Amino acid sequence: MLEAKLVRTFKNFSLDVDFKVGKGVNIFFGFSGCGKTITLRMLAGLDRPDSGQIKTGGKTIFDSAQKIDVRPQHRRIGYVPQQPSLFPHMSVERNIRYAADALSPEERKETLEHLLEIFRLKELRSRFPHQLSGGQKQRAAVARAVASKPAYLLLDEPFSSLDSLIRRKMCRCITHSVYEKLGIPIIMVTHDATETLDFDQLFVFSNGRIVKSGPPKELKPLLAEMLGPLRFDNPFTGEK
Amino acid sequence: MGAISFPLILSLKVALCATFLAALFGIAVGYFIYARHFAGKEILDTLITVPLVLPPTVTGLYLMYVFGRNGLIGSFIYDLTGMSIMFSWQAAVLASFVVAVPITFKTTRTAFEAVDKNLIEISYVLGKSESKTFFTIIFPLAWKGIASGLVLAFARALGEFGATLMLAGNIEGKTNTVPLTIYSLATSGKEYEAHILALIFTVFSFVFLYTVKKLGHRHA
Repeated sequence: MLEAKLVRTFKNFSLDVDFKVGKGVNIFFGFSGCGKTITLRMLAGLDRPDSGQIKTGGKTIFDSAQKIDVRPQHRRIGYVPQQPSLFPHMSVERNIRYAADALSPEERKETLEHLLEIFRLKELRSRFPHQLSGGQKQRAAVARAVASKPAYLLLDEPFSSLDSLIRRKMCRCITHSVYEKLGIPIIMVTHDATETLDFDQLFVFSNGRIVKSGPPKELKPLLAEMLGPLRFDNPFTGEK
Repeated sequence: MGAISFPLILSLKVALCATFLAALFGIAVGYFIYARHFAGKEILDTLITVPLVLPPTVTGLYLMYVFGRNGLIGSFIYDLTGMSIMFSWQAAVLASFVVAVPITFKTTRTAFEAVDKNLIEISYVLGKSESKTFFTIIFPLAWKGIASGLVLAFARALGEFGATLMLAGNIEGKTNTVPLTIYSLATSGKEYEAHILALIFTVFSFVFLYTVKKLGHRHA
């Protein structure tokens, strides 16, 4: 279980969220600028909340009152940002090895081969990032993120640069690989409502708050209401 | 022959030592200023860069105040060892170092700042320490910028004149680097020798810069 209460005030925006994330694939949904990315960055330890608490598996990794702030290196939380972030001077294999270098040589080799297999990267192992397509890069980035064996994996719209059909397919494929095959719970950010339906738990963000959470199918009316005024394809009502 | 070979060898020795020291200092301080947030950061940056715009004679004068026998540090060294750095080849290294440091420092800081911050954050999230991230991610991605700074610093150190004259003097067979020797030859009517030395120096500089450029392209 990952529990967080995060407060952060910016010049024109304030974030105040309180949530618990269990196993499975959890989706943070909301329009751009509603606080999803900053929430993930705080969980990963890359940004600091003004106040609040974060606990993973009962262990406190951030507590403003007790002045606990575990560094990103020691949080065991994997993170894949929106932009492809493979190390450009390393091949796909070296990128993954880099993440797994704390493991014993045998375990590292086994992990590497297993990840190359399940993320379909075997043929691409010696390629450098500039020789990969957008989807291949993000598959490799996710493989690298899980190679360090994190307790949770945070995905910040990792497929946003792909077109919508491939994106949805890739989303399902990656989340299946990470959660079903590796057993790592996921928190994935998206602002595409069509991506929210396939997963376990949905957290709806609006203006720096979580306005609703629950199984995606139960939140369909809320999503329909949110998408309605935008007057484009609404997958929840069939409206155009 | 010795009148020409000595200044050439001395200039090379001085420039190499000065560039080596400027590289160590420039990379260490460049990284420190890039990675840390503290009050007075930009003042420190400006202070290190000032010799780039000061006339070398002014830099030399300040160095005399600091490292001269009665200077702030010089007197301490003299009391301790009975020796002074002034008018030695090491003084020429010090003068070249001070004028080369702004170049290595500035190019290094810029090269570090050009590294995608996302990559550094990802390395931390993957559990890597700051030093591991520096040696495996930041430095390898910044080294081309740093290397170009080192080439420029070496070229600057090789041609250093004013500060070297103030600090090391122009003692034949001891501190007469190529620029100082050309000056001495030209002002004492030995124009032919001055031209020969200037030509050798020009050809060497051209070959050096061209080779470095070619090597840079090969590794690009």
